[in-house]
Amino acid sequence: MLMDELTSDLVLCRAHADGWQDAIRLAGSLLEGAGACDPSYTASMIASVEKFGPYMVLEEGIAMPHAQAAGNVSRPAICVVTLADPVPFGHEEFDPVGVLIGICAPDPTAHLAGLTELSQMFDDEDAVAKLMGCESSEEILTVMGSFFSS
Amino acid sequence: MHIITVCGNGIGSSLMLAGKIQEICDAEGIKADVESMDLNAASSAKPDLFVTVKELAPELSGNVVIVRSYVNAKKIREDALEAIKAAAANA
Repeated sequence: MLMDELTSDLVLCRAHADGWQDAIRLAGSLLEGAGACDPSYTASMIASVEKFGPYMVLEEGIAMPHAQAAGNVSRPAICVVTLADPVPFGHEEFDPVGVLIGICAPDPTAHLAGLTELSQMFDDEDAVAKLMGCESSEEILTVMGSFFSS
Repeated sequence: MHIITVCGNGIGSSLMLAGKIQEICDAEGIKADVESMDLNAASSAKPDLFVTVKELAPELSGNVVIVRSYVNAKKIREDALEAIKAAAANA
């Protein structure tokens, strides 16, 4: 699944973000850096929150930025960003956000079947706290791996 | 019975929600065909039940149940189970 391809170059630990747009930009730049998408995809992730509201804030402190691909995603990928200082996304219940799981996929259905598995991480009530406690990208990879080992 | 989970893009949150809804139906022995859609596609669909969050619910017409979370199995079960059972009884 996607998680197998989560490598340290797709992880950013305790980054500094100036607002939610900047936080999504950080996630997008990881996906771009890995050659998974173009900058226009990052822009669509931001536009998507502007259009539909902060529904991609999935639980307390965690958002999953994503958008529909428009020929600007070359392969499915996932990235993880934790923020030194969480930022508000405008979500009534789950602000502020300190963990971002950025995802992209060229095809809306087939390639993202792994997302159903990604939702397993939310079965761990302490998932966000565990990720926020990580002090390095390697530590984040270990913690992410622990959510899917069972 | 046909259930559609809805989010803005139809590729992330709604897909995760679809997995959780399928699990609930399976556990309850309810036969359901669960798929995820973006808001645009969903607005012309006619399922037995839509499942989405409150931000997007006003955009849908038909039988809609609102969940507080796309991913938290416990909250989804609390919010949607009764509506799923009712929709199954009417399907």
